[in-house]
Amino acid sequence: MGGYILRRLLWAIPTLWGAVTLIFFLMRVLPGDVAMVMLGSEGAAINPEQLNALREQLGLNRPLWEQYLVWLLDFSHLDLGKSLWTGNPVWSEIAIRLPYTLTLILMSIIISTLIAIPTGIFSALKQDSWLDYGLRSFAIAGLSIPNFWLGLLLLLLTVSVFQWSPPIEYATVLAAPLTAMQQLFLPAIALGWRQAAVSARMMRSSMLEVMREDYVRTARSKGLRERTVIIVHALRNAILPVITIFGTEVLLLISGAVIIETIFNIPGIGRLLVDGINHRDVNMVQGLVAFITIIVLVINLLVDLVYGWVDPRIRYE
Amino acid sequence: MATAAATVRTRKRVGESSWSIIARFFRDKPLGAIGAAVFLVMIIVAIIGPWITPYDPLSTDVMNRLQGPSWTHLMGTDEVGRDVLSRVILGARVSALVGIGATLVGTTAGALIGVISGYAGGKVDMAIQRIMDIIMAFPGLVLAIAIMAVLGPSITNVILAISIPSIPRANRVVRSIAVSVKEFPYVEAARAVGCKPWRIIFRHVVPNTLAAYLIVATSMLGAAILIEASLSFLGLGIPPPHPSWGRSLSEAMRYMYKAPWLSIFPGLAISIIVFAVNMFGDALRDVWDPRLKRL
Repeated sequence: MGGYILRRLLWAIPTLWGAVTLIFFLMRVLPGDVAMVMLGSEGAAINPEQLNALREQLGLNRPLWEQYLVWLLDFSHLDLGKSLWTGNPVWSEIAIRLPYTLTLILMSIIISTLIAIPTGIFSALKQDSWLDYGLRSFAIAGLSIPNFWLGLLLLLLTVSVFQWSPPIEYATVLAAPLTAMQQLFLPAIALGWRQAAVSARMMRSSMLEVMREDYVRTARSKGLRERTVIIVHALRNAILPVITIFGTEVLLLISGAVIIETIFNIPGIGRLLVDGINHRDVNMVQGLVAFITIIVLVINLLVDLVYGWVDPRIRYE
Repeated sequence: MATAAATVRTRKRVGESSWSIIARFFRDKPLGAIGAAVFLVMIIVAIIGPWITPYDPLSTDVMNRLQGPSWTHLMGTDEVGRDVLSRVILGARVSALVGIGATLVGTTAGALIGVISGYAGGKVDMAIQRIMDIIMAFPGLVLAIAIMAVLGPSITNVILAISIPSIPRANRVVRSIAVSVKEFPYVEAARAVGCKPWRIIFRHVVPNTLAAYLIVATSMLGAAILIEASLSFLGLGIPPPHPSWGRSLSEAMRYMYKAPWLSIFPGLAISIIVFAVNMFGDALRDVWDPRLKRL
């Protein structure tokens, strides 16, 4: 297992380097000039000397390769630079916003897993029944309804029926865990709905396959209770594909968080990204995208490790 | 078993006409056929949209702003008195154009790179697949947002921003087929008689990947429509005044409690189309290649 972990870790390094390099060069061809935006409107007359001084101060006058090497060196020391808009280090901005996004994503994973696994199992066990048709329709609807529309509908419903509107200020999970979870419950449903649908579909088809395997028949013929056959023998193998798609689904949850945070006014890293783009804050955007990429790579690594742990065949390939 | 039987029934039989294949597809996969029909209606609406809108979707009528659904305005009016139905009809044009455009560009580029990567093998394959790993490390919408910030808002740029993150998926599927096809005896025979690699790729490998290409394309269409709506929702999509479902929803947020119909109809349009496209894609996949069920 140690060799497997090392191999996976080594694979992640060139991918990370490629991703941060791509995002650096992508951001450098950004139209518009942050220095001009900081000094006023892009279209208005601006003192060229003042503009030049600011560009010098921000390091935008240096050659591109030099900017790249400095960025890469700083990045290797986990320094993401300073926001060109606020002047604060990108890390500190991320640290302030991260608890909101992490709580939101974790809650949506928990909610979607609690919905998806039993739904997929029941749907498979009652194949082609009305329950199955109902659960499958829920799964396909989940894939089709955009999370931002679901978010809007949930807001509309809670305001009209329960007179609840999103808080002006959100609590962090570190300061007030219960309040934070309460406030983020609705956004987490809007965000996790799609993942619940995808995992339920995957769980159903995987369970259907596994239940027809010989070892399940053997377990039944030994006289084991149906519950034991399902939980002990079938579930462990049926859950493998659900674990595999987890990495991909986390990518979608991060994408979804950008929109859900905008709708519910949550001060997370998704909102920070959208604000960064609106302010032409190159450092913030590239720092954030690099940070998100690290998170994605770490999650993919963890998914691979869990997969290797659950299915020993994977480690030896 | 039922799926397998339907698959066997729906596959082309010798001497069978295209019409009877379509008829059998409707009989064996009714939900998929309905999905295809709904998508076809969307394309027709997108083409003839400007001639069938009850009102000019851009003309404002402040006296009749925020009117609820009625016989005069079936889906009500927005904050400046524009007819919502007319804007939903014209929004189909943007969704169809961007959805189909981005899917074609992304899937075709991914498939071509995949064929080359799979056929070439060795270092070329290794290098291409590592680049795909890099693109896959970005969440799709985050990369699309970054690309849109770089390129600026326009229809072409939205298509490009959506298609780039979708390249690796088509690439992986088509590459895996190319890797196995290149070992087939007739491909080896073509190599043995001195056929050039490009000729082998386009004459022998590409035709084998077409079914997978179409399955991946239809499965990506729904996602492309959703990402377009998401970008427009964030203000990074098609620039105003072109009506876009995503931007309509974003604008509706300000009047959500006063005029809930503004939030309902564009969202319903997106959901119906994506649902239809997903159903069609699923049915097509079941018929052509049930092995790709987990795509």
